[in-house]
Amino acid sequence: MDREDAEDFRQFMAARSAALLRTAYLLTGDRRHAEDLVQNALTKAYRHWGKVRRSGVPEAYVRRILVNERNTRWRRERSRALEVVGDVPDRPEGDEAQAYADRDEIWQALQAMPPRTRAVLVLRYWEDLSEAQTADLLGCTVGTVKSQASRGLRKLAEVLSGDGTPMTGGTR
Amino acid sequence: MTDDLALAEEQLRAVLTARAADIPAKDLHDGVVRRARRRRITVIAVSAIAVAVVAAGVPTALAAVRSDAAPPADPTARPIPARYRCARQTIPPAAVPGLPAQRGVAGSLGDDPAAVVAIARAAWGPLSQQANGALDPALTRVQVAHRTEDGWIVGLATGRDRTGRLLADVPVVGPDLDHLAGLSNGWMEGNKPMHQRFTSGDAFASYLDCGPPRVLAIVPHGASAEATWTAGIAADGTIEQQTSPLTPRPDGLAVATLSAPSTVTLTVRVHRGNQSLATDAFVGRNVPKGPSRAEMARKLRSAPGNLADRKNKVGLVDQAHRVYLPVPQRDARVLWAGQGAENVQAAVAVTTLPSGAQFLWGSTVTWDRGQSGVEGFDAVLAAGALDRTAYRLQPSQGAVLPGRARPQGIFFTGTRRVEITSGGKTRTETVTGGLMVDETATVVVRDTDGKPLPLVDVQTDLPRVPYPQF
Repeated sequence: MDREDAEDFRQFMAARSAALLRTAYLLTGDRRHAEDLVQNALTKAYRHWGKVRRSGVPEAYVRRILVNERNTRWRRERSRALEVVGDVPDRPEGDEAQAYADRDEIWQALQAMPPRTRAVLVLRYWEDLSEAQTADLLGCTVGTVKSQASRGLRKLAEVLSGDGTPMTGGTR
Repeated sequence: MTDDLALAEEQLRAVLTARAADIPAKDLHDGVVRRARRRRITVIAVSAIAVAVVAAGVPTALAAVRSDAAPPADPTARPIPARYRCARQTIPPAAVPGLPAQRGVAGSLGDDPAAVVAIARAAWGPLSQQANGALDPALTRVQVAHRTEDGWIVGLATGRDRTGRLLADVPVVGPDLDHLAGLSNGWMEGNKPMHQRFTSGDAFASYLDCGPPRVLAIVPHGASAEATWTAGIAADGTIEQQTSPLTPRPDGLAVATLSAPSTVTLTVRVHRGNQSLATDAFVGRNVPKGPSRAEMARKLRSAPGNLADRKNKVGLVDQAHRVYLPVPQRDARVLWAGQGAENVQAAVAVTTLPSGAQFLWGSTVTWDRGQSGVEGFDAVLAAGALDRTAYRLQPSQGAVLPGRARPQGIFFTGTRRVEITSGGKTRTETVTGGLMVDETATVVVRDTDGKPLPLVDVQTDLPRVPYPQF
């Protein structure tokens, strides 16, 4: 990597790594996984930064690696062993309990969704990407994004209305 | 339902925003560059010095909510001598304004006020940094103060905001009370959401990347804890798994110094029976790297089999960042890369380990209604077994068309005679590397002397190296 690329990479990291870390956290639900995921994605991007920079859309490139890496890792983890789900978290007490409980249930429901559904929800409603941008990033059709987003929101609506049951992990 | 969906979207946006705000800004630049240049795998490598640069980029809305600034570093604090600095960069100790008296601190030094205060001082800077300065010092709590068998000090402190929400937890390590380091990028792994952690009965586990390799666990009553790692792979394919049990004190604290070398990946786990309560994993600094993606791309291009568009399929046999073996691998080759008439593609690769045993890995990709599902696998083969065996591989994903069978891949070394019996008819093919069988069939692979080779399922019949439980 030449000096110009190195400096450009440094500037990109300073500007965008925090946002990527947050996105990774929303995708994984785990801080350390998120950090590892972002480091892996950025390490891959770093090795080809000249090409990435010349593409003119480095963030989109890195975000694509991030999402792919997450899906690959999930598939691998799934192929090895089912994770044992821990205890249901205790509820906080006090006046804010209901608000926390609602948000916590949404977060838990999000964690239980298949990675692709979760990725669609995070990219659409956190990153504010369009359906077309989300489809392009995930390598699927706009119709798939629409159906996954609708399915995910329906699940969350059920959780909010109190008749939702945990969504089991899918195969893709 | 439209209103319900709108409400769900609104709530989802709020939850995503709140959860994202829990993640402190960190400058990953140095860690990424180090990883890329040295080609070493580390789970965490962050420069705390540069965090302030990124912190400037924290959204102003977040800063407005969290207005309490972290106290400045104590000017009287002695800097940490270089020989005691940890892999995870540390911040000098600082006075904790208004630190309340601490009670119920776990560990052998829990009743030693000087040790407890020293741990709080060492933890305060990293705690404030992780919490973006939103801590209420009056709710700072030292959870652990302990002297280990080798004389080092291990501590743990937590910080909460004014409302009592837990924002950060920081392990503290040092050779003595005068040289403690709060691990600025450290925290305990547990199963509860951040804000609800550290209540009675919680379990935690963490690898302490500072000084001698050490693990720290908080073990609830009736639970057990241990650290495990793969030490080696014998010629007969036996995976040498080592376990170091962690014996908790009556107060639930378990600290152990490990003899694990830096070439292994270890998992520390707290469990009750088969239920995992907390896990943490650490990839050693000198874990040998497997064959590169570029090398596997080259091998894939010349491998036997009918796989098309190979330029874009290296992911099928790329093991970068996926497999952590404690021993080096050599002589990588792709045994077979093929595809069936339906919707399945597969590739299989192998390397040889120092003992003579071999490491086998690969993936299948199944295309179904415009989406793809990848299934990876890996296994260990006894020395010499590869040439005496045929292997079977069948993906579990994807829809199967009515009246069709799920395709299966059959692979082996060299060129073999393969008999495929289906619907009462047997056809014979001479095949190099392997083939995909799309119909329900019985397959027999013949050795050069005509004897059938044993057919082994790679996903169920072979040992595999346990994956670290991050």
